[in-house]
Amino acid sequence: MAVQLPVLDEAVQAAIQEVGNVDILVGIPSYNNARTIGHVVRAVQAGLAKYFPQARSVLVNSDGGSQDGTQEIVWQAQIEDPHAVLLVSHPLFPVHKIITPYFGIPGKGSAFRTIFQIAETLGIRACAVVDSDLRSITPEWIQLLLEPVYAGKADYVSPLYLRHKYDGTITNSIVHPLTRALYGKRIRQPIGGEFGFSGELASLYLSKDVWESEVARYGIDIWMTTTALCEGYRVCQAFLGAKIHDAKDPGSDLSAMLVQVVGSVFSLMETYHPVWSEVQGSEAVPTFGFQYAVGLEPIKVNLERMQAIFHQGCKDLLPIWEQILRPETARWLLSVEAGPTGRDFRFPAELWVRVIYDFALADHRRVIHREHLLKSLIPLYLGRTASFVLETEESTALEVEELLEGLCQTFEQLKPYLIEAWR
Amino acid sequence: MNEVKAIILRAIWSFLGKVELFLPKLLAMVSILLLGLLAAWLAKVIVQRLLRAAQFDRLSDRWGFSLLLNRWGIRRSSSAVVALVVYWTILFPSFMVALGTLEISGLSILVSQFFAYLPNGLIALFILILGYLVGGFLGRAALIAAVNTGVRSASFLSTTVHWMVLALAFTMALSQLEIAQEVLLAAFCITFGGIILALAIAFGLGGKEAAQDFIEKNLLSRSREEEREEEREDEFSHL
Repeated sequence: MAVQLPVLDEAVQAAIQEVGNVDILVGIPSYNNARTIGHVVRAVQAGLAKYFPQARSVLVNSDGGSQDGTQEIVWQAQIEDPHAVLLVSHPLFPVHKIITPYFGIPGKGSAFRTIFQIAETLGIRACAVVDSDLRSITPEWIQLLLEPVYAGKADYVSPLYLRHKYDGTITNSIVHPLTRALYGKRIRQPIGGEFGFSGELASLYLSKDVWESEVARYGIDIWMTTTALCEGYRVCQAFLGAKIHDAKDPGSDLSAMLVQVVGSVFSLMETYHPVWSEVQGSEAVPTFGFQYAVGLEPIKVNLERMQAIFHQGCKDLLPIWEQILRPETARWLLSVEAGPTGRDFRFPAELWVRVIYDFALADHRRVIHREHLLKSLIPLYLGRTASFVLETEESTALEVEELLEGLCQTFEQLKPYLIEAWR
Repeated sequence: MNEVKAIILRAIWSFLGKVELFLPKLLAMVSILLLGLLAAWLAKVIVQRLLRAAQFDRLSDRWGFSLLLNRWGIRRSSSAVVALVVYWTILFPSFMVALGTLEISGLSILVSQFFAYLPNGLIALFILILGYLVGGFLGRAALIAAVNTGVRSASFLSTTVHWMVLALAFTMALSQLEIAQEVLLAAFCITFGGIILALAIAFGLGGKEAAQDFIEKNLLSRSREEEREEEREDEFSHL
């Protein structure tokens, strides 16, 4: 059955008619990002002018009803001095702009759907999406995200950033190692937020009936990456440098983020079980871009609060966890809870992997209501994060990557346990 | 002598006449009972098989229904319990109908009253089951949310939510059964009002500082930047 898509705004349809044939589309989802979106739009324009001067391009801002003048800033943003971005040749075509509200469940995924719709209508060749809260985006990001697709070397480009060792903890402790173990491709930032992909892939995304699920919100990134991997598209990575985005309150969003992202990962495990159950080990994917090191701002972490929530979880949520975890995993968890606290607190990597696999299995068997299942993972996630921070306090970025490599290998080694129990 | 004989014969004929009148009714009662037993047994077997095919026991584990049965000391599976309820739901009315065929005046009134009251009983039972499931669900949701936000009395909060929903369901069920409605309403209002008052007093006296902190934090206007500064204890991004 064909997926019912919302009808595009009349003004947007008129703008699409006006734009005509387009080779490249860059989409920017936004919601109250007046502080940063001007810089993002200018970086995109400069990138298109500098690296794709021969191509016809369009910038699409898919906005969730911003009240802070985000849309006006997108209209007004222009490269002030073209020479400042070292244009080698003068662009043949101007960069068109389409600003549109999106429809459906409020969230990043719904914003992306509108971008995919416009991309399909325009019949574009290469498409990229970038977040509107980025402070570190440069014109080179546009080249790196689009070039592999534009040149026909890849169908999907995932970002590769330099981030602080404590940044992106859901990515580092769950999504990256689990995606790698399941689908056998080493994609470091599967939920990075910035992606490049072909027009064909955009049409495929649009054809899937997922827009009323977690995919419409935070789940979109992992869904795009996993779909590209499992549907046999060529996936690569592009090194973009440091990722710095506008500060937001991380604590208040944790519950929704974890539920939507991990929920999407688990849903995708159901969809693509025939794919991942056959995969053994993992392999690197082609990586574009010149890799270099940068200094990153230090980050404050409240270890005491994380550990307190973990210990309270062990006290109050144990009856729930006992329905989810295998008895031996629950026993191990209790021994961790009874073990050293404070700076000596440790949550072993193998236990963490077993916890994640048991949660995936419990979700598969519908042991308890899904939202309860996923939300009850939060104290365990905070416990593991606190342990990770303590383990890596004195470590360099390289040493942290080695530790994460060890975690990924543990996920791969224990995969037979998951496959066996899934049946 | 002949007169005595006539009296005895009349009594015997009268008795036989009554037996003649009663026997078809008894036969009808036994037939209805047997039919009821057969229908109840068939319904039980079909329902149990259907529920097993639909993996009801797993769903029941998920909803906490199995846990409830365990707590009540029932060692059967949830599907077996539901099938048993269906069995008795058919058998008991059959028994009442069967009794009705005897046309005993007191019994007839009892049977008609039973059937008039039956819908109320079923609705009350449905309310109780729904209340138990909703109470368990909301209690668990409250527990997880409270633990995740670091509320120390998460367990107490969860139990309170659970029991408040159960109390509400119980009150509604009794009201449906038309048992002491006015007393019940008054008792419910007094209990709930009492709980709220007790909490207010406990919070105001026992937790004076906490109350002050709560008001300062939530009700007094502060600059957004101040709030952000406090919230930003963890500065890392999770994604």
